[in-house]
Amino acid sequence: MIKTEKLEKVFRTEEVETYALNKVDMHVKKGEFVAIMGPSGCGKSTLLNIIGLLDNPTEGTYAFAGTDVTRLKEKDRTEFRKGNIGFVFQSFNLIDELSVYDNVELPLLYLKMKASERKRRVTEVLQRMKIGHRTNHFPQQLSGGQQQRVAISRAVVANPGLILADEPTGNLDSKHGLEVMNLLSELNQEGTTIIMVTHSERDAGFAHRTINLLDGQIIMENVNADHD
Amino acid sequence: MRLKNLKSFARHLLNSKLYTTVTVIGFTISLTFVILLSVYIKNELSVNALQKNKERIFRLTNENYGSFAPPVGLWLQTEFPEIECYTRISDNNGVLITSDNVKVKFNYLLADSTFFHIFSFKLIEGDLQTALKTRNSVVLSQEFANKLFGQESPLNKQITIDGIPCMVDGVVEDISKKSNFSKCDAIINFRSQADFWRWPDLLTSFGNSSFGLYFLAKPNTDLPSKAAQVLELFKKDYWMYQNERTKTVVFEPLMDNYFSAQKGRGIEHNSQTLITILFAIVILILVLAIINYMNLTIAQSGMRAKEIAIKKLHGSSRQKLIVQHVIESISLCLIALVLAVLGSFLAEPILNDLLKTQLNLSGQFTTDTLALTLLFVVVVGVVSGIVPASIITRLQAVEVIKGGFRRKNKSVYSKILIAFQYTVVIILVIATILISKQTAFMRNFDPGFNTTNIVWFDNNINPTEIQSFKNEMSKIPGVKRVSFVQGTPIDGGNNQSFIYNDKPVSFQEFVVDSSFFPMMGMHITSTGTSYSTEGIWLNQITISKLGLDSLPQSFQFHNKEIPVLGIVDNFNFRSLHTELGMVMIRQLGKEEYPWKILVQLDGNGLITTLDHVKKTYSGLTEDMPFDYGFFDETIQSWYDGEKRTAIIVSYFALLSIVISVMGIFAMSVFYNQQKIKEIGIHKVNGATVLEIVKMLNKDFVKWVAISFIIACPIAYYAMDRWLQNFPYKTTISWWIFALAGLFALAIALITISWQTFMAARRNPVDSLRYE
Repeated sequence: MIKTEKLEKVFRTEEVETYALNKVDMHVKKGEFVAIMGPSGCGKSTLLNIIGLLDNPTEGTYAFAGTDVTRLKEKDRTEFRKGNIGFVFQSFNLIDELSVYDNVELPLLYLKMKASERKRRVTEVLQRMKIGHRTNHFPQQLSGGQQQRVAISRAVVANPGLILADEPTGNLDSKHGLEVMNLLSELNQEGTTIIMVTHSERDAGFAHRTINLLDGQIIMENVNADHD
Repeated sequence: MRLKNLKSFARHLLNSKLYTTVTVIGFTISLTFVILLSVYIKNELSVNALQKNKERIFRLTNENYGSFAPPVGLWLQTEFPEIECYTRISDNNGVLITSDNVKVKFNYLLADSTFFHIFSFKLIEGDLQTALKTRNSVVLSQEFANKLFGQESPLNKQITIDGIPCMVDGVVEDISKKSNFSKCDAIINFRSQADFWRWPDLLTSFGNSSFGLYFLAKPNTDLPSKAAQVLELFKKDYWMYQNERTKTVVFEPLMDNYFSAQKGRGIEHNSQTLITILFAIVILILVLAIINYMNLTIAQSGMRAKEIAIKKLHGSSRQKLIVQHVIESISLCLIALVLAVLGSFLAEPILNDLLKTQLNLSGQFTTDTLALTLLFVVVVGVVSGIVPASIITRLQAVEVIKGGFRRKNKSVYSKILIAFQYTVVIILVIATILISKQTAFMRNFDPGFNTTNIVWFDNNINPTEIQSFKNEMSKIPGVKRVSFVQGTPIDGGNNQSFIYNDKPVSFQEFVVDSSFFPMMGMHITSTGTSYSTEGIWLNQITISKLGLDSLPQSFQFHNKEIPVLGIVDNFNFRSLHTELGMVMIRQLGKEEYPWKILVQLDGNGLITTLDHVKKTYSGLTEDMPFDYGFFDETIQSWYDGEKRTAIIVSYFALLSIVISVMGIFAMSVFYNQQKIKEIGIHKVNGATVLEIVKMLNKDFVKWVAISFIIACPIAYYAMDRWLQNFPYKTTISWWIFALAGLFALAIALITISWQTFMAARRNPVDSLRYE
C-alpha cells in the first residue's frame, strides 16, 4: 500500500542543511500495523507527515496504493488525503470551539456528504468509541483519554484505509493509553492499515513490525513475534 | 514605574512593528484632526471675543430680514434710557475715483460715527473721536489705502464715490479679523447712503427698512428684556409691524451674532450645524482611534502575556501592572501627539482652504493651550489604557504559562468594537454619497431659463447713451442679444411688498426690456389682453397662491388695475435653498434707469467677444471697471457650501476608513495567529485553502453585515433630517445604501484576504507539530 524509495527530506536555513530523512525505503502492506521508533529529532514525525501527504519529500519517490504521489501539488494532496487517511495526534488537536459531535463531523463536511449520512456515521462511531454520551460536550470538558477517543473517532469516521498516529498515548496515563492502543488494534484487525510513531516499547508491541530510525535513516526493522 | 518597565515596553514596540505602526499612526491621524478642528472651533467660537464691549452690544433683529429703517435707532434711544448709542449698518459695492482719476471697484460698509465707539478697532491713521463724524467722510482699510495711495498718507484726500465727493479721515485695521463684519475696503459715514441713492429723505423715512442696527447698552442695564416694550411700540407706529407682517423683535447679543440664523447687512455667519457636525466627527475619530488601540492591545497581549505572568508570579500586584499599562498607553499617545503636531502644520493649508478660514496654528502655542493639550492627551491615554490593562492583568499567571490565555481570548467584544467602526464608516459613506447627490441635483437642476453663455454686469452707462451702446454691441460678432434690466433671475430681483385683498403679499419684481424673454427662453402663456406699456407678466405660482383665474386679464397693484399680458412658467430666481415665490415682471420704462446689463453670446471665441464688449462698455463709461459674471457659474457658486460640506464629509469618511482598515487589518493578523492551530486541524481533515479562506473571512463579513444593518437606519434618519433643509431634494435611493454596504464589504475583504490567504496556505505540519 505504501512504498517509498530513497526518500529524503532536507531542511535548509541560511547556514545549515539538516537531513531530516536520508534515503528511506519503506514498504507497508495493506492491513499492516507498523510502529516507528527512535529518539527525538530522528525524523519520525517528518516521515509520518510525508506519508500522510501533509508534506512533500525533497528527493526520492513515494507511491500510495500504486499511485505516484511524490510531487503532488497541495490542492491535489488535500484531495487525495480526504477520506483515505485519518490522523491521530499526541495532543489530540481538537477544536475547542466545536462540540464533540462537530469535531468528529469535520472530515465528512469536507467530503461534501449529505447531512443524514453524516449524522448516521458520527453517531455510530461515537457509540463505538464509547463516548456517545458526550456528544454535546466541548473538548475542555473531557478527560485526556476521552479527548483522544474523540480524536480517533474523527480519524476513522470517513472509513480511511490508513490511520497515521503520532504518539497517540504520549499525553495519557497508562490506563487510558492502553485503552487507546486496544482501540487502534481493533481497528487494525478490521482491516485498517496503521502507522504509528511512538516512544513506548509497550505501544510498539501492539504493531506487527517496528522500524527504528536514527538521524533520518532506518537502522533496524524487527517483526514482532506475537503477531506471526 | 521603573525605567526597566519602559525599556521592556520600548523593546516590545520595536519587536511588534505592526502593533506599533497601527496604534501610533491611528492616534497620530486622529490627534492631528483633533488639533486642527479644535483650533478651528475655538477660533469660530471666539469671533467677536476681542470686542471690549461685547457684553453690551446687541443687534436688533426680527424674523424677516433682520433689518430696520434709518430713524429707528434714534427713536429707540430716546425711548429707552438703557441705550448709550447706536449705529446703523449697510454695505454695498461701488466705484471709487481718486483725484488722479483712477477708477477702482470696491466694497464698503456704511456706519455711523459711533461705530468706533461701540466696536473696538484700531485706527492706523486718524482719530477715533473724530473719524466718520462728518457726512461723506470715509475710513479706508489699511490694505485698500496702500493700494490707492501707496506710501502716501491718505488722510484728507478727496475721492469720488458714485459721483459724490468724499474725504478720507482715517485708516483702520482689517475689521474682519476682530469681528464678524465682512472684510471691506472702506467704511463710509452712514448718511452718505442718502446721497449715493439720491434719496434726500432716506434718513428720516421708514420706507426702506433694509439696514442693520446695533446698540451699545449702558453698563449694568438689561436691554434685551425691553424687547417686548419695543414690539408694542413698533406695532403701534411702525408700518412693518402693523398688519402683523413682522411679528418679533429681538436684541441679539453680539456673541450670538456670528452663529445667528438671521442674516444681516455686512456681516459674516457660520453655521452652528457645521460646528456641531465637526465636533461630533472629532469625537468619533478619536473614539475610533481609541477603539483601535484597545482592540490591538488586547489582541496582541498574548505575546506579552508571559511577561505579565512572570511578573505576577514574582509578586507584582495587579494595580502595579495596570499602572504600567496605562503609563505605556500615555507614552504612546505622547509620541503620537508630537507627530500629530507636525501633521497639523502639514495639513493646515488644506483645512484653511476647505473651511475658508485662517487657522493660525503657530499662534496657538500658549502655555494654557499646551497644558490643556497635554492634559487632554493624558486623559486619552488613560481612557485607552485602562480597559485593556484591566483585562490583560486579570488573567491567572499559571494559565498564561501553560498557554491558556490565547485560547480564552476569543475577543467577541473586539469584534463588537470593529462593528462599531464599520458602522461609522458606512454611515459616513452613505452621507458622502447622499450629500454629493443632493449637490449634483441642485447644480444640475433646470432653473427654467437659459444659463449658458449669458454674461451680466453692472450698468454704468449714461441713459442717453444706452441706444448707442446697443448699436455698438450689435456690430460685435458673437453677441446675440443685449438686455437692460432691473433685477436678474440670478440676483432674485427687487422685493415688492404691498397689500392685496387686505393681505400683505410679497413679490419679487423684475423690470425688463423686450430682449429679456427671448434671451432667457422663458415660456409665456398669453392671456389675450391687448398690449399696453403698463402691462405685466406674473408667474404660475402667483395664480395658485392668490387664487387668480388661470389667465387673469388684470391684477390689482397698489389700488390700480394693471393689465396682465401673460403667465410665465415658474423659474428659480434664487438658489434652491429657498422655495419659489411670486414673481412680477414689468416693462422697463424709457425714463427708468436699468441696473444691470445682460449679454447673450453665441459661444464662439468667448474671450475675443468679451474683450470687444469690455472696450465698448469702457468707452461709454469713461473707463468704469468691467466686472462681469456668467449666469451658469454664478448659479454653480450658490452651491459651494454644499460642495464644501460634501468634501469635508468625504475627507472624514476617508479618514474613518483608513483608521478602520488599519484596525481590521491588524485584528485579522492577530486573529489568524490565534487560529493557526484550528486552521491546521481543518486542513489535516481535508479542508482546501479556499474553504479555509471562506471560513476565516466569514467571521469578519458577519460583523460588517451587522454594522450595515445598524448603520442604515441611523444614516437614513440623519440624511432625512439633513434633506429637510432643502425645498428641492433628491431622493434617498436604496442603491446609496447598497453601494455603501458593498464598499465597506469590499474594503474589509481586501484588507483581510491577503492575511487570510497566507494563513490558509500555511503547512498544517508547522502549526501542529510543536504543541
